Amino acid sequence: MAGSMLITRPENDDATTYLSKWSENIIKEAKNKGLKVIDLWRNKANRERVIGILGKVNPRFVMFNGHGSENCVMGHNMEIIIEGGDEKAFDSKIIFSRSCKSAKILGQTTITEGAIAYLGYKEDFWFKYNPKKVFRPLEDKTAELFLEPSNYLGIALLKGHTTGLSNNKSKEHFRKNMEKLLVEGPLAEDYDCIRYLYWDMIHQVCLGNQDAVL
Amino acid sequence: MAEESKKTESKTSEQEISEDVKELVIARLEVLSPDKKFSIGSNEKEFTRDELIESVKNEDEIGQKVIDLELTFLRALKDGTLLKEILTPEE
Repeated sequence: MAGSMLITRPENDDATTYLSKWSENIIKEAKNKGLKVIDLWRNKANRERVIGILGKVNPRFVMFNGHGSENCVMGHNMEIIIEGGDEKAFDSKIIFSRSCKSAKILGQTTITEGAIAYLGYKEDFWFKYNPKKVFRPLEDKTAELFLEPSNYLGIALLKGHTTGLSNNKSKEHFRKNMEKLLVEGPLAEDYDCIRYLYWDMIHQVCLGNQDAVL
Repeated sequence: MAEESKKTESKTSEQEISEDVKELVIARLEVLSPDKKFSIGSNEKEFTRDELIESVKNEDEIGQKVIDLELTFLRALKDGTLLKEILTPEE
């Protein structure tokens, strides 16, 4: 797989730190597949760099981690890095935005303006975590219930699956985690996570071309 | 965005939540572990179980999100959508 990938990994609070650390597996997979990875980590996850790279390097795959809203995605220290009006920057790109609600409006307009596909969440992305693990997020079994299925969306794309199938495979991972908790029963430590996993799963969408590949 | 939050925080008649619903949601939250935290949406702040319960009591923006999630889940449980979703693989 040739080409490049842009990923943003702000780390200004627990949530963004978890998303950033869990994204390391996606970066590893991308490198294994031969993609050049442009990793905008911490304060490099800013608007100037993102817009510059989208224009100059023109990566086919873009992954955002961070907070967001219906009409924007944020970078480090809550700087708005992409918002309504920037959609042209995504022409001919596949975007996976692990940020809340951005698929609701920004994702739709991005597709209208020429993006191939926009994968993300139409509502808030919830996850639960163990505060004792904030310095080792990859060892947090509670957060893993949410972040591994979400991660799998990016991994599936990098494995060469189509956009639609990648979304479905990711949902399958959410489903397996819910099933596992159901089988373990109400006394399981994270049994209550079923409701939050269900919420994330039903609001994860693939907009645009369902058959595109990286 | 701050204005948007304020708007969401101020209750409208359509958004008023019955005491029964609040009690139900709070009862469901009370059984959660007090030691874990939640990341919710675009909030930089993370929330404990007790903070979620307070938000539901106050019907603030976070409280509304919690109630929305709980009701979505309970509806799916009641009408069978949840089990169908879990047991039916995507094509």
